[in-house]
Parts: sequence; C-alpha cells; structure tokens
Amino acid sequence: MATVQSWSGTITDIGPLYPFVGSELFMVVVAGVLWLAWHLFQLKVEANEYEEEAARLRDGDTLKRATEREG
Amino acid sequence: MALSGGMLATYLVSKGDAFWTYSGGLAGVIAASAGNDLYHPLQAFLIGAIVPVIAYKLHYYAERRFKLDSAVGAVAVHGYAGFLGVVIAGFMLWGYPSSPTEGYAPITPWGNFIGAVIMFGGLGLLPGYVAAKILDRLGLLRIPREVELAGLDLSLELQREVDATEIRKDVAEQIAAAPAAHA
Repeated sequence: MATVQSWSGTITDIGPLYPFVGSELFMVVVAGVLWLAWHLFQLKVEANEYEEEAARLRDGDTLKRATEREG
Repeated sequence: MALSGGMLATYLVSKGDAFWTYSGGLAGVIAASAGNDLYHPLQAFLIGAIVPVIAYKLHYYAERRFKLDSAVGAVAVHGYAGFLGVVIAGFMLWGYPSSPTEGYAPITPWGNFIGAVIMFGGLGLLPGYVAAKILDRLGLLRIPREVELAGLDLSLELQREVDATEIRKDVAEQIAAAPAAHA
C-alpha cells in the first residue's frame, strides 16, 4: 500500500513521503553490508593487482631498467 | 546517493574501468530520477546501484547479439537505465496519487510501463530512427569507409602530420633557394 493516498492538505500533516515506511532499519543493514562487501572486494582486487605487478617487476631486469631510466 | 550507488556498482562490474564507473554514476542518477522526489535516500542508493549494472550488461549484450555499437554508452546510460527507472518507479510508488488533483489515476506498474514505452519507443527510438534514415539517404550519416577503418581521430592525426611535413618541406625548399636568390 502506498504511503501517501492523497496530496491534499499540508505537507507537514502528511508525514514521511517515501514508500515502504518501516523498512528503514532493513535498508540501513543492506546498505551497510553492501558498503562493507564493496570495500572487502576492492581490497582483494587491489592486493591481487599489486601482487601481479610486483611479480612482473621481479622477473628479469624490468625493475632495474625502470629505475635506471629514472636516474 | 544514486550517483554513489551507481559508481560503486559499476566500478565492481567493470573491474575499475573509469569510463563505466562515471557512466554508472550517471546511470544511477537517471534510474532513480523517476521517483527521486519520493524515494528514501537509501532506496535511491539501492536503485542507483542495481539499475546501472543491468544497463552495463545490456550494453554488451546488445553489442554482441545485435552488433549495435553505442560508442559512448549513451543508449545504456540514458536509454536502458531511464526505461528501467520508470518501470521500477511504477512498482516502488504503486498506489501513490499521480497528481494533487483529485480523480487522477494512481501510479501503477503497468501505467509506468506504458509510459516508458511511449517515451523511449514513441518519443525516442522512432524519431531517432526516422532522423537517422533521412540523414542516411542524404549521405550525412557515415564517414568514408577508409576514414572509418583508420578511425576518425587517427585520420585527423595523420592529416595533421601530413600538413606538418608539407610545411617543413616548403620551409626547407625556401631555405635551400634563399642563397641562390641572394647570389
């Protein structure tokens, strides 16, 4: 059922306008879990990327050539 | 909230692609905009996170299946996300009065779906298709095949390079001719 049945009257008398009033805690939990999951996933992806990059630099003389070029 | 949801979600699905991360944010805003005057911020966040992922998947599906190239992803961001946003608003705001004027029909999923079809099909796809057909008939739609294959940017770069070489050649010839003129 829609939260608002009619737009007549003053807005302050109507109260919350958003749908599914009462599900705020559930939405906060979902958003919090998503926020946490996103960061865990991102940390994992980032760690893998750095590890791959480091492994590539450790092979052969890539790192030596890169640092020599800077000098 | 919809912007952040879209950016976070498409960052994940596109594996950190900057283009899709920002496009996903925009798609999130567009997806939630149909009901943003009534959504709770977290509802906007969740809709803004879910829809851009679907739009992203649809973009590559249409490219693979129908060979339709949308180079900047505009069809996905504005079309797929916009269409889905209107359809989702029909479910989220089911039963809300559509107008402050008494007697107007309340919001329904089927009403919003028909509205989405009218907007995106009747007012978007159809006029766009007709305009493209007219441009095609006039020969204004496509660039020459060779330029297309080389890539428009690359072709312009090559032209600039050719121009620069010719200028250098002219200057060299003038310098070579200069002592003779004095003599």
